[in-house]
Amino acid sequence: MLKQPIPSLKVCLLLWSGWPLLTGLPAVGQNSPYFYQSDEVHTRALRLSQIADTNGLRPSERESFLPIEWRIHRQWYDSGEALTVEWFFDDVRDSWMQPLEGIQWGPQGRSYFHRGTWHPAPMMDADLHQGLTPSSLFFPTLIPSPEACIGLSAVEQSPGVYEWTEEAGITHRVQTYPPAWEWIGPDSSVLHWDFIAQPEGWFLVHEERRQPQTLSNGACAWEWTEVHRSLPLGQSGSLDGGMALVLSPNPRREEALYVALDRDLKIQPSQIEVLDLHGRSAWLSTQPPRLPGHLNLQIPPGRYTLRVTAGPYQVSQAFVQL
Amino acid sequence: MKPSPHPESSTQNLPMILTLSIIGIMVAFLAHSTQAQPCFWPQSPLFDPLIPNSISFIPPTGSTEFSGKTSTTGERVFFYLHGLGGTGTSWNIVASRTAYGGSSGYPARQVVFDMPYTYLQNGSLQDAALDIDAELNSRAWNAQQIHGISPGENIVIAHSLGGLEALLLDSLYEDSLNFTRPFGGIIMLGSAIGGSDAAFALSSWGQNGAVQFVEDACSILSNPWLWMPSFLPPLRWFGSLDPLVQQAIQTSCSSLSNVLIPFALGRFNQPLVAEVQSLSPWPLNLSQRSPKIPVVQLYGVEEEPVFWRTAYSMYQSDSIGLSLAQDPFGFDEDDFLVDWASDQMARYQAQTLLAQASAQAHAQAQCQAWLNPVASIYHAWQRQRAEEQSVAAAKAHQWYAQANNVFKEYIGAREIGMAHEGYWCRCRGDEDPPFTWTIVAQASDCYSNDPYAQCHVWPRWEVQITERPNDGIVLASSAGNLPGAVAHIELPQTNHQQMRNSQYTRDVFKRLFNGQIPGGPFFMTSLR
Repeated sequence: MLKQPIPSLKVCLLLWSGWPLLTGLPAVGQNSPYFYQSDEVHTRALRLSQIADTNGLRPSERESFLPIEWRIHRQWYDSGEALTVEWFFDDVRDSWMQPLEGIQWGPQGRSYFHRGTWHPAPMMDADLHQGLTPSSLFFPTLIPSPEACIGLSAVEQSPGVYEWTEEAGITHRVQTYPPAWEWIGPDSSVLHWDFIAQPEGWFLVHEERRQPQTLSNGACAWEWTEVHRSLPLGQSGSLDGGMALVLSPNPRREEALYVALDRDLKIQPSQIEVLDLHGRSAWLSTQPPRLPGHLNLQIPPGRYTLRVTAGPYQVSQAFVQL
Repeated sequence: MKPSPHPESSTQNLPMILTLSIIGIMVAFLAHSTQAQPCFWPQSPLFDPLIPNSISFIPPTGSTEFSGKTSTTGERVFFYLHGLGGTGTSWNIVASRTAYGGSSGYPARQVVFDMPYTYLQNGSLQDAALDIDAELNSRAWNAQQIHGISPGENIVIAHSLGGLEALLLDSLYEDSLNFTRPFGGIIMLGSAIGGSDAAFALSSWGQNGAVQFVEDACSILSNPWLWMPSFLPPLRWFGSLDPLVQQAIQTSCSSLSNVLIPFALGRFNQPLVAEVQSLSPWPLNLSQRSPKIPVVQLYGVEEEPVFWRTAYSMYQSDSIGLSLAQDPFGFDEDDFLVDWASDQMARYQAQTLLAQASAQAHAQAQCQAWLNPVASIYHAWQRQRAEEQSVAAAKAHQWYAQANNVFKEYIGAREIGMAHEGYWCRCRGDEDPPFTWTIVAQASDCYSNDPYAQCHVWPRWEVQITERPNDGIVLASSAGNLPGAVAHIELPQTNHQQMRNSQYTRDVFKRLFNGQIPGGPFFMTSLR
């Protein structure tokens, strides 16, 4: 009997090194439904490159030194049609500013939610977005293959650090340790992305943009923006046993109904619906609160099912209204 | 030693064991990552919320010195003085309605109608005062000759710079040999007796802040990534710019500036603005001197955002004649630009994030197409364009978010104090979250031997913000702090441009003319 020889240790090592690549396929390429979310902290400020006099600055420059920070809950999902990304804003800076509350980019287009209405997002150049689906933030590979490096005219500056020139004199630098991409402009401006390894791929965990600026008093400064992301949490595939709704109190009287996903997962549903025994909609919200949260339902007594829709997933739980 | 019957079995099984182990670890890791867990905000420097130190203004107690001074029950003349950059027409409707007809909740008084006139503003403060003196004396003499009204019965109602001029005249009238007093009382609205930073800071005679402010707006908001020429919004409220400001802007901005300039700032280009600064001789002198006649001070305290509210009133006051013809005190609405600015901020913030997402998507597409030079170049190009759009939109968002505070700095209602206090040190680690932030005393303390850490260091500042109540142009402490005044009355939710025609002004005028202001019976004026 002809037996398949056991592969040598070297071959196995090669296979092992390929294993992470197999698991590192981008989420965007997945066929099964998935839902991921991450919290982002955006920071913007003007930063002096060294100690300098700040007395003679113009008011707009002084104001720019004050760091602005805002927080966004970002979630992205694909039910099999196309990727959809949603941003939900968590904080407001000044009371008079009526905040931007949400942004959505999916198969239906790009829009933002402000003052109780969805508005089409401004699009100055349709070609820029033509046929483009939003990024899942998972990148399949960081370093071009040796063949691709030749095509890109990439030069290995130091071990694991490759550089090549892109459009308009912009240098693209990629490195494996720490995993990062960097674009350096001819004006010394820098866009820097840091990645972190995740089972779904390289996750874009941190973005940083620095643009040099000479202030009115001659001091040098950087216009600095950063985005920090928490590690993605999510669900891929079917929901079997993965998530369940927790409703309390149940049975309910007049009090607010507390709705949560088990294990206290924070999530922004796209829709919450209450169905009666016959499956008819007794209450519907297409702008529901973020969960866990409270719902004030005005429904007659009876048995109902509360259904939460988040991306491709639906989770239901029965409850009794006394 | 006896050899093992399967000497290479352990070596042969090792790859399998390792593979199974890795699979096990990966499955466990995947299971862990898909578990529902509470979200935590990623770590970033914990910026203390910059809560401004709001200094409230408490006016001094009203003087009772003139409690015994009353007017006769006959007719009198109200002389109206406009503010800086204004004209006599500013007061026309109030003047005519006060003399005849009245309006809802505001009965007409026994006042001889005196057409408000425009005084000289091209010279110094004193030149303007002498011009006013000549005109008022002439009118007071006529009123005395025709109606038998004693000049001491007359009242000056003055807005802004007009109040400063009236008070300056009061000081000149102490020289009774050379001057004759044509009025016996003053009601001043939003007059910066203690001086004003705004006029000088915004004027071309001072810091040229109006030009800087508008140039910033113009250069940021006219970026083609924000507006396509064919979709420019119609020219709606930005028409009345001062020619000097317009000229300065045209040199650095495109023709789009006419569309995008956010408000009219043509009122401050007069040489005398240098004399109304806080430390100039006249304000220093007048703010310490008790007037020799009854004076009532009205000062506005506008709610936030004062800039957008004042900007709207500035625009509206150029074209409100028709609406005020029905009610001269109906100029209270000022929310329009507040909502508009909020809309613009939301729009540009959304554009920023969506353009960033486009850049990410193109970068992702690029790394999937590295072997295809054409696709790779295309996505690199588009990523860069998306980045440019994102930066342009972020700057526009920032401009709208900052405009109110920048303007408040120009008018002296907001101060930012910065003191250097150590350094921020940010390093990367292996843990989650990957970045750590620390405050170090010296920049060199941020050094790390670990090349992976890639530490960044930059100066850290302790910031102190001080804010003062104001009417969008003048601080309450400057317009409501005159020693010896009969009363200092706040006009809430009223900006500098509104205060001639606000409902609060109507209520104060009514109380004044009814003789209901303690210490101010002189201002009581009979109903017609």
